[in-house]
Amino acid sequence: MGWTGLETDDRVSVLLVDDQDENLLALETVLAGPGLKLVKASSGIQALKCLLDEDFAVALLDVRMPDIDGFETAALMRERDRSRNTPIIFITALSTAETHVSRGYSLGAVDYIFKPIVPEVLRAKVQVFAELFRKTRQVERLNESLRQRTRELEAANRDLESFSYSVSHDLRAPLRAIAGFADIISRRYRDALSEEARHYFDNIVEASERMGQLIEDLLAYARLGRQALRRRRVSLYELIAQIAADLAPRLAETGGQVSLSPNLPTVHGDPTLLGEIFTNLIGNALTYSRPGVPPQVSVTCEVGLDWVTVQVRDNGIGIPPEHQERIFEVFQRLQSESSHPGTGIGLAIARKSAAMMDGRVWVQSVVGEGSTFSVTLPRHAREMILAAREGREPWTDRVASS
Amino acid sequence: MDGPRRILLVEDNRMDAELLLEAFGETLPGGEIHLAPDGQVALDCLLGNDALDDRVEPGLPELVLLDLKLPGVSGFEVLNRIKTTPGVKRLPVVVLTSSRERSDRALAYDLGANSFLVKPLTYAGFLETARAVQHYWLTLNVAPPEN
Ligand SMILES: Nc1ncnc2c1ncn2[C@@H]1O[C@H](COP(=O)(O)OP(=O)(O)O)[C@@H](O)[C@H]1O
Ligand SMILES: [Mg+2]
Repeated sequence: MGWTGLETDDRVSVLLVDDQDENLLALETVLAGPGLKLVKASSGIQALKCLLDEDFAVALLDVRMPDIDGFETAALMRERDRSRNTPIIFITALSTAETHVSRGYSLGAVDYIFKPIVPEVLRAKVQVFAELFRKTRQVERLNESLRQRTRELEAANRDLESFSYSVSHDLRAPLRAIAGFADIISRRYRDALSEEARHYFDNIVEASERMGQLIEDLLAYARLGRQALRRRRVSLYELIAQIAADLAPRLAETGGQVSLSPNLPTVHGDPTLLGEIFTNLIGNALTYSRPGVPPQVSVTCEVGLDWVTVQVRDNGIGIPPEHQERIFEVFQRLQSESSHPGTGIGLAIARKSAAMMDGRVWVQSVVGEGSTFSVTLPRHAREMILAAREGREPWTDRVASS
Repeated sequence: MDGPRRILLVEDNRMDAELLLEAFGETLPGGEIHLAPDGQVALDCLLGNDALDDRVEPGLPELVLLDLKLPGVSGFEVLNRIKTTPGVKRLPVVVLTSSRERSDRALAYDLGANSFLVKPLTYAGFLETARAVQHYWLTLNVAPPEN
């Protein structure tokens, strides 16, 4: 707690209030040093004026003053927002201490100093408050810069979202023209083209379809952040059972099976976002299966006090450790477009959807054995209360399969 | 219904307009489709314009196909004028736009759009849209009385 090395900015103000000049001078002499800015007031009124335009680490109040005394000054300080929490040390003669102490504490006094003043005691007490004030101010500054940073990031994020939204939006019009007129040519004049020309032409059509898909997906991703979160009670069991039912044709095609754990809970979340997450995860679990091995997908969960983790486990090709983060980024994929068609946006959408509900998605995987994608969502007080009130949900074990 | 099946297409994008005209040409032979390249022209066609006093076509179309993003007078303004002007307010208006955004859909329906379609990405999609619009709005749908 030294006085040295402090920047002027770090100085804290201490208010000295006494009607006697010589007392003020004595306080000043004891406390003088580079860390403190001493502000003197010779009456309660003047003290209150000082408190209007400055924050003080502590106010030293003489109890006995003409007009309004120390206690009245303290009472008035407590009525004002700015000085409501300013620590007060009353300075009083030892002879009157007993009556003063109880009255002072009821006014929110933090401490007492008895006359005659012992310099070391005064200095030590004031230092404690000065240090506290300095620390509080530091925390406040940090908080403010953090808030500022958050505001900046949010603004940048919004800019980026509306940028990618309008870009992908505006890209669609020329693409419509390319694909549309190419299609008209291939419908009406295909026979007039040589085989070579037809081949090039088909390439144009194929590429424009692919670009259309990329733009649609990018748009879907950008749209995510632009819509307000709409939380509802969502039964994860019902939601995921429906997704599995919608995938029935693909399950039939692959001989695959999706099994759901009966204890999937009801959460308070955005049904659209939750749908995006599990549609993508379960869809991937079916897509990235091993050749000749029918996909087995199981959806299980762990429920904690204030969180729930849902695991989507498959027996597919697995993901090498070095790629397990990358696949969550936009357009990042590990398989070729010709072997496994896709655009690489699904997991980015899943991750962003989870983040919008303050949750997260991650993967554990062994190449050649399978992958487990986990989704952790916070459970909110409201939904926990509801769940408790309703008792266990009477789910039965159901298996969606081909 | 007798007479030509008339549609007013309000579309500023030349390529989209051409694709739509092609698609309607294929699916609605003998039909008549009139193009308004911006919102003002659309309003002039529908509500008349004292200054011009030469309406492009006499009489009202059976259906308006309306893009929302138009230079100058926006599609929403056109929609609002149609739906608040006696004599034309019952005219079915089908919005045909590239935007799927929630706010656009909400406003369009609030202003009285009769249907909201998103522009397809392929010519096959345009053909399907043209066929469906023609089938539903010009064949199945019973037109409102003229006042
Ligand atoms: N269950 C899975 N098993 C193995 N690899 C997966 C699985 N899910 C995703 N991947 C890998 O992550 C990539 C990105 O997935 P995703 O973002 O859904 O896009 P897409 O499926 O369109 O490629 C995939 O291309 C694939 O390589
Ligand atoms: Mg995918």
